[in-house]
Amino acid sequence: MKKLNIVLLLIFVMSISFSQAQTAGKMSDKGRLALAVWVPDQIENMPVIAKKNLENKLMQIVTANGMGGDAMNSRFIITANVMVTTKDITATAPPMQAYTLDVTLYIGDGFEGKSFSSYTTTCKGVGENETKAYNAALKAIKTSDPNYQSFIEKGKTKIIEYYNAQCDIIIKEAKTLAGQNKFDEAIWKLTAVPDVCTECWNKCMAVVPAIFQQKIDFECKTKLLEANNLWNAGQSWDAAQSAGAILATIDPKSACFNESKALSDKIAKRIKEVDKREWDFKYDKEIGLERDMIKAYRDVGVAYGNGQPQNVTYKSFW
Amino acid sequence: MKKVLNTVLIAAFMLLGLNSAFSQAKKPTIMILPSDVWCNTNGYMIEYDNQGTKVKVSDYKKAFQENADLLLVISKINGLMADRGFPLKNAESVLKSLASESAEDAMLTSKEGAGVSESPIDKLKKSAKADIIMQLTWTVNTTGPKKSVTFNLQGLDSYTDKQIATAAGTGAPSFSAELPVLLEEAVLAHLDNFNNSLQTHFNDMFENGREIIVRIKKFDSWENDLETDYEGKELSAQIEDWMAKNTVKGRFSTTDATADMMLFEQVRIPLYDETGKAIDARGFCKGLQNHLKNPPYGIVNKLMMKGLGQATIVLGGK
Repeated sequence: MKKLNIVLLLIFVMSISFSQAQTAGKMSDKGRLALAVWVPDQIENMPVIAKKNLENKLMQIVTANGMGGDAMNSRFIITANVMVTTKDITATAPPMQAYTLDVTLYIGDGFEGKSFSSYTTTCKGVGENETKAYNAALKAIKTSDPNYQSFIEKGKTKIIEYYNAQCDIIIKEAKTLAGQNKFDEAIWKLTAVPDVCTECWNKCMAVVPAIFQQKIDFECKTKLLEANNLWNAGQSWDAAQSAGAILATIDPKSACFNESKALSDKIAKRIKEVDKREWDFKYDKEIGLERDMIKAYRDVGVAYGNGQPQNVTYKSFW
Repeated sequence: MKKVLNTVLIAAFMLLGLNSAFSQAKKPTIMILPSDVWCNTNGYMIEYDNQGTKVKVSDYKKAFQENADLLLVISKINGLMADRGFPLKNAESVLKSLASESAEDAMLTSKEGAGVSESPIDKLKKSAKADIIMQLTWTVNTTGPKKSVTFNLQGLDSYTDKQIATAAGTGAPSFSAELPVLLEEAVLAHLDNFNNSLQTHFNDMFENGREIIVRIKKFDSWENDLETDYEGKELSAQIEDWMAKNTVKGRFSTTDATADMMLFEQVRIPLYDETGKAIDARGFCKGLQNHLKNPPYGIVNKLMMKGLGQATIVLGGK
């Protein structure tokens, strides 16, 4: 009886710790939202090193407050404007520069130039030159300041509101892109919606499979045509190898997969006749497997996003 | 040669007297710096844009590194003063020490990973300081083949901004003498005049007390100000009463007085307190600080110093 009690107690303790681990491991809403960090060039005479320093501070503030700092969709940004409120130069040895800076942080829609929330902090810095004075002032910005919480919370709420309001337009744009055979961009647009915007995310995820199917069907046709051309041009062992390399990447779920199989069989038969050896052709095992489709869709989006040139133009908030 | 020897002997006696007078009281430190005019004429200036206004400040570091004549004059004066038991602070060495101290502070880390605490005001105070600045100017006059040197040495009190000693004049024109020789002669010719006036200043100090500047300021977080009544009298008047009671022969001038600040100039303080301990501006103002801390005022305040002759009390915080 005593042993039974101990066993029951152990089970109870383990179940509590397991449920706590589940809670701790669950990502917060904010964690699933990401902001791009952008510091504009038109800040009053700000040295390049200080600008980099400020970008780094913004990144620290975002991550310290539980939001991603590396945005897949760079529409939403955290940015800062620095106003020099006082600047003094002392005629000492060495001359010293003393700055008082008003640093205003903004979260908003960088494409529209629309601010969602802002927070201003004042910092002071002294140095032997402008860069050192700026850096000393920016060093004084405490990334753990609890005031950032409400500033970020407000920004986050507005971002969610944006997605919920613009959802139909996002889906329409994605379908238009798919119609132009820009499947990757369409999937990127749909998967960039943060899953914290549940309503919109569900709507987008319902559209993605169809576009993904269009994408693999389109790619299958293109690859089949290319493989056919290669094979017809050579009809040799080398041509077979080149065509095989292309055929191996065709998704088994695509509409023309059977046609690709027919071509590979044709190549194998012909090689045996002409070259008197077996053509060892294998499809990429990874492609045909049942897999986490949501992850697959997201990977397509991420790959497209990473491949884009990083010259996004933002509108200033001030 | 005989003239030079006589000059040196006179200067030695002057400084011996000066040195014995200072055996107990706090010695003022003396440092030689080239004047702004000299720096500007010789191209040792840094120009800054201070929010629309062009500001020029002397680049002492560059001057010390590049001008051999300056080094010669300073080393000559330093040597003559040191020979008489009154060593001067060498500005070039002070600048190097400041740079290395700044680097050490940046690198200093506790075992727990904490860095050195340094407020912007601390950083601002990290400049070469001396109680008396010997400001040096010379120009080389050329009249046909003849050359002469116009030499000007000003002793400036760093705190009261008063010129307490001076020596100026033009040396005899010469056909053959090199510039370093002319400069050396100018130093020897003018140093005794300079020491004469310096001695007069010190004699006055012993008789009428050290002259200092006292500033009273307030933090903006303090709800009261200098017009607040304490026991039927405004705080500014109460402070003036304390000054009248504690200065030598009640000598001080209230230069500025508003609700937020007061400036006392020509404040004559005793060289020693009642226990016979040598005091400076900070020691003197500690008395006022305690006076304001105690009833009926009970004002929390912060005392800051600048060398021997300047102190600031900021009311309403630490």
